[in-house]
Amino acid sequence: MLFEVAGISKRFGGTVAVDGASFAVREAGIVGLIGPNGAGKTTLFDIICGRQRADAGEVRFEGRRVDGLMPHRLARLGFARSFQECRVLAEETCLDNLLFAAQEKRLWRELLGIVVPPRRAREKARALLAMAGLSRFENVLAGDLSFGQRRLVEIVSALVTEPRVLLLDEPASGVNPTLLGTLHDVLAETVPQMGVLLLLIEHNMEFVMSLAGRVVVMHQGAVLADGTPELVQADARVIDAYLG
Amino acid sequence: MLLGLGVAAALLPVLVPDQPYAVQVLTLSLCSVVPAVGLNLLFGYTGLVSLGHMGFAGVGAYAAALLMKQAGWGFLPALVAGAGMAGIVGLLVGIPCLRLRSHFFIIVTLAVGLILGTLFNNLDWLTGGAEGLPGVPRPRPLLIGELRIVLGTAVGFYWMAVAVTVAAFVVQWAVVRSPFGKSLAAIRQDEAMAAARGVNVFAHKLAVFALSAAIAGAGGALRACFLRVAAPSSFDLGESINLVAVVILGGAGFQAGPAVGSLVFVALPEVLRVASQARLMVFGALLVVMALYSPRGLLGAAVALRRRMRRADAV
Repeated sequence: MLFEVAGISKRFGGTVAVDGASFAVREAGIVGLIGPNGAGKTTLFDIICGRQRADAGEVRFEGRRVDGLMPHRLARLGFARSFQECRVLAEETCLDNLLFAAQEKRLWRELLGIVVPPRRAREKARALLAMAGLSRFENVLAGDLSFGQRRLVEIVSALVTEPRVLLLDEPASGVNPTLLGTLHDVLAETVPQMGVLLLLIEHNMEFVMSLAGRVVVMHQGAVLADGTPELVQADARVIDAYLG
Repeated sequence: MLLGLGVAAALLPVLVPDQPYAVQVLTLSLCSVVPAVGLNLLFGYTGLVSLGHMGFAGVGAYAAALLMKQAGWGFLPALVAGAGMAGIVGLLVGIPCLRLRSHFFIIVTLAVGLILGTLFNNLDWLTGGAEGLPGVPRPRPLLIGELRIVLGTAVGFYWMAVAVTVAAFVVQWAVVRSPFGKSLAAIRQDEAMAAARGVNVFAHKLAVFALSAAIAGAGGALRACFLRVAAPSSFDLGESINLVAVVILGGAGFQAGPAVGSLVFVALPEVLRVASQARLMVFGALLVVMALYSPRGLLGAAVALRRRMRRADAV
């Protein structure tokens, strides 16, 4: 089993945010995570990313327990993520954003790098920027870009690290249709090629259904349905709870 | 720019001889440039404000003074040892303090500065109390083969201060351009994001805190040797605040910031003979103006001005 969420629960005071959510992923690919607001998607996401601790349950990656690990430890295991609010290094250029993401982050390697400057992944970074149509913004500060462009920078920065698991939290929100098309194409091309597991929280059904090979529907903190996009879209309970 | 400043600083006594006062004033400003470089790495690049940084300079100063006076060490080994000592103290202090965030961290650094100042003032058997440790010997001449470089004279010491300062700037330059420096900049811009990309934020902060304390310690050792005394008043809270002012004034996060800040903050008032009393008032006002109109200091203002002029040219 590549990746497994087993019986995760989390409550905030009297509110149960996640209530025994479970699903397992056998191999790399694109898995959509959908559900109405308050279904517990983002809380589950935060638990997987090490931002919060679960009250019960486990998250396993290649059989190894990874819940409760610090975010930087997860990153070194091959986890990469985007943030719902979109986070980039606003004071650095697009290229530098990618080069920072790609660099080796262990402290002793970085300290060694003060004396012996390491090789930088310029070519790979440029190729990804080109794929995202951002080549002409290479030397523009990320903070000067539009929201949609920043979103693309954030996601290709995550991709340049060659992650094993990529977690994207509502990547389509606030992105205009043209850039959304670019984002769709970047993900559809790189994810199978890199052999990465992409876990995608999304409200834009067209976007998620066209990308994902499998969709997990959450409702009231638990998994309501789990299957191919066609199967899920035809499920009466899902239509009732979410799709309407 | 830094290269030019360094060369100009080194040539100054040759081009303009017989200016002992100017040499003294410049040496004194160099003594604050070095700790300012340390603070710039911490504050300007990593975004961590330390309000007690001269405390670490004091650790370096006392360690170097003791080694030179009691153990008869030469100046350079004592300087390196002082820097190392300050770095170790920085490391130990950093372990509990860096768990705190933003303003809580700032308040604790204030306390650390006060505690170190109190220790300098009261550990009579070690630091000589309020009197300090007077009679720090002048540096011995440096012998490189047949070459004998006299460091005991004012100009000789000035050149050595320039060399130490250049070394501090070289360290800063190497750190800033390295992957370590990039991670520090990422921590300043967005800590949660840096962590999600694999930066061990705490370990990185600790490393830069210790490095920054060590550079401050080297500056303290330089000052103790120049003034020939390690005294608590050189490393008290007021001096720590002045150091923050130097970094902000020059431009936090600019490599040349500490040099520009110190020249304006230390040397200019000295030359204009308004030292001590009036300085604090003038600079207090200046800092308010800075905060309002140019949060990135004099260099930030210069960069903005140049950009505006270019734009005007283009039109």
